[in-house]
Amino acid sequence: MDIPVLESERLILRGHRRDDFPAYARMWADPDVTRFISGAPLSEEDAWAKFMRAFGHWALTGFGFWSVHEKDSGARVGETGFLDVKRNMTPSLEGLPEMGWAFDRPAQGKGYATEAVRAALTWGEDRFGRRRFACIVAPGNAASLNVAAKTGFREAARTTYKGEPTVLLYRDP
Amino acid sequence: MTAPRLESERLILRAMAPADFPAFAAMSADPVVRRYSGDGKPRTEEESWSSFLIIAGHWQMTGYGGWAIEEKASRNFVGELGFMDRKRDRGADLAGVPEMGWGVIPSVFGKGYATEAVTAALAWGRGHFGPRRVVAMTTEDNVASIRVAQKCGFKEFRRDLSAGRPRVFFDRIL
Repeated sequence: MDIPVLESERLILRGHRRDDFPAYARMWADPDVTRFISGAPLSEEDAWAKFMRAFGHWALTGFGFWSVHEKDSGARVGETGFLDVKRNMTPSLEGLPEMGWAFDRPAQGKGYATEAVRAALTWGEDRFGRRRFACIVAPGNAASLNVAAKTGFREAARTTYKGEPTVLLYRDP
Repeated sequence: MTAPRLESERLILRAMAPADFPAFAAMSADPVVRRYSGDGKPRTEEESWSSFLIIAGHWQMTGYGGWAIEEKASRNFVGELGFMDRKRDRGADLAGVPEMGWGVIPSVFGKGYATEAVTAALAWGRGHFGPRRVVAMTTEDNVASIRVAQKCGFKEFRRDLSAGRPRVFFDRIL
């Protein structure tokens, strides 16, 4: 399928391309990026699986993650989008569009994540309708909780996922 | 790009569709199927969904990948197979060498379906890759799969314990 291209003031959101993989793998091998997401830096093998999964997600569900790039430089700064993980988690996220995001260290502190998540949410409200969206964030991930708050998410529950404490947030229309 | 449709006497090889996921997840959760693969443990629904998405993404990113195996007579999903580049750490000599994998559900064991499907996929692979080396690996107690490899022209070239279990490596030129 053709992955839509979204544009915000400073950013372009587009589908991942094969030649994005080196930048993708570098970001996911950075312990600062993975500290609150997967817990450990990803090997090339694991990053490659995640990269292919991100692409397959669009093909099978019609939604997924975008690669986020600076308009000026073209540099990849991170990713955001919608995902269905079929997480084994209580409360269940089944049927709720889930959002996620991850940004590269050099891009942090510029408001890029908030800008990209807003652009994705605009697309999401069109794709899914104006309805509840969910996201999960590690309780210690202050930067990401800040992005969630700025884009309209509110804490709904504290739970665990894969044995780790997790904050579940909802964004209601 | 998605998997091209291939046909053999009793089987259709085709792209995995969202409707295949329940059957795919049931196969991946079957301890008999999983005994010889990966860590040997049945997969959760969440893990199967991840694998299912990776299969779709693999075609998009590399131009090759996996197929669902459908039994012509019943139209049922009976297994999966394909060519993969998982960037697994298998030793420098195997970097970038496509790996073949296959598996069928227990209710069709013994019918020769895996051999039939692998033969069809190898013919496609020869057209796609040209006369290139492909590898396959399994645990050394997986007698059925080793027989499929041998019947399909693969030859053993290595045994190791790097995955914590004795594994046999096979290769052939397409």
